[in-house]
Amino acid sequence: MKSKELRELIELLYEKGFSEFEIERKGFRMRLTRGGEQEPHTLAPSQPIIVASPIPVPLALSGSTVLAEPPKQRSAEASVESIKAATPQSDQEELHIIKSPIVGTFYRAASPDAEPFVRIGDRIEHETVVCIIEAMKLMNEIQAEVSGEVVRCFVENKQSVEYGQKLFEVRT
Amino acid sequence: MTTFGSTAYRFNSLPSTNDLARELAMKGAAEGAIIVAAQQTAGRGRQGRSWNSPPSEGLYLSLILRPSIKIAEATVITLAAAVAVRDVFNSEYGLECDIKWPNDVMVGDRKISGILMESASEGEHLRYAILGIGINLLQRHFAGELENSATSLYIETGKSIAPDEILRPLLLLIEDEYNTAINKPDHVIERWVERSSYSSGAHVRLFIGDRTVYGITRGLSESGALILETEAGTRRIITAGEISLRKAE
Repeated sequence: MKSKELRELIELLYEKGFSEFEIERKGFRMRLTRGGEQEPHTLAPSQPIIVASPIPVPLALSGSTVLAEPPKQRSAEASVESIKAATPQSDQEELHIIKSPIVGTFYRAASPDAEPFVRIGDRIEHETVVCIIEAMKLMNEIQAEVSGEVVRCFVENKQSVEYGQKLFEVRT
Repeated sequence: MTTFGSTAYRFNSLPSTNDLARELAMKGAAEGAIIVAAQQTAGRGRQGRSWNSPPSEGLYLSLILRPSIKIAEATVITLAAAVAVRDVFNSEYGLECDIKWPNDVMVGDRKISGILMESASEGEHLRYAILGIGINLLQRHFAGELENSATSLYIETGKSIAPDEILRPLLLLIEDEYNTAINKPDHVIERWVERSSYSSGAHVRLFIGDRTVYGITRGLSESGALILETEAGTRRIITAGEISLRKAE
């Protein structure tokens, strides 16, 4: 782990008010304990055992994109988009359909009292969460994966959706 | 191969371990990292429901997962987690528990553990998943709306088990069940069916959105969805809803 990453990790944990932190990677082990008014946790034998992980990937808290998974589909879409943009019809609107990747229940908001993730007319980016699909109490956030304007929502809140069913239409 | 818990973030108090786990996962935290808080001030269940998380009386745990699978294949993990929690109660403390579909761990009709998995997908593929587990351990009693619906390990067995004491055996079982869910999901379904009184032949009431459906359970699909034979005689595949056993009339 690089010292810059380590510093940022410690800063994040400090900000969150951590009491203990342990990490072990190949050739590297660190344990931080923070004093305070509250009694610190003791490391009993039943604590998770520290075992050197064969996975060489360190926690990367600096430059959050470093470990972000490569957006495979997006890169394909992006190249298609750039080709289209280069054509004389580039001023024409492109409509993108966001579909459900799973059978489940559609939620427009994180909770019944919360604001919807998106509304018609909202500008969205690739990373914008547009809805949650629940299946077997797995709450899965669906990201837009495209930037543009939400022009249509095909389903009602709490409606059951099928695999591949249309959820939103986005003008890109 | 990872060892769950080899990276552990511990806090005296957090609003929600799942919320911090999500933040860390988005910043690249590795699979198997755990977040544990002695107390949650805004512990969550599904769709904004709260999880009662008094200081040091329960285990409040979130685990970061990064399986290379499709989101449609990830639902089995939530059932696998329930099998692991049920088994740790049984093997470590001799407590017999039931699993209410899909993943509530129950003693009779009282909940002792709740599981909430949250994930983000990109296309059909899972980017990361957060497995959140709350276990009631040391509570002496529950008040208000939980009075008749919740229980704890202490109430059921008289044993005072600290959160850290149950953590290690639990993580070992979760890791084992998780690997099975990825490689042989049908084995997880089998184990779940063996352990749940809800799995087959149970007369149940199911709240789906604003509707109530009555029927008899007829096992699980390969993704863990509940197969329900309705009173009208049709079979429905249920992926979400609140289930309860119908008392004998």
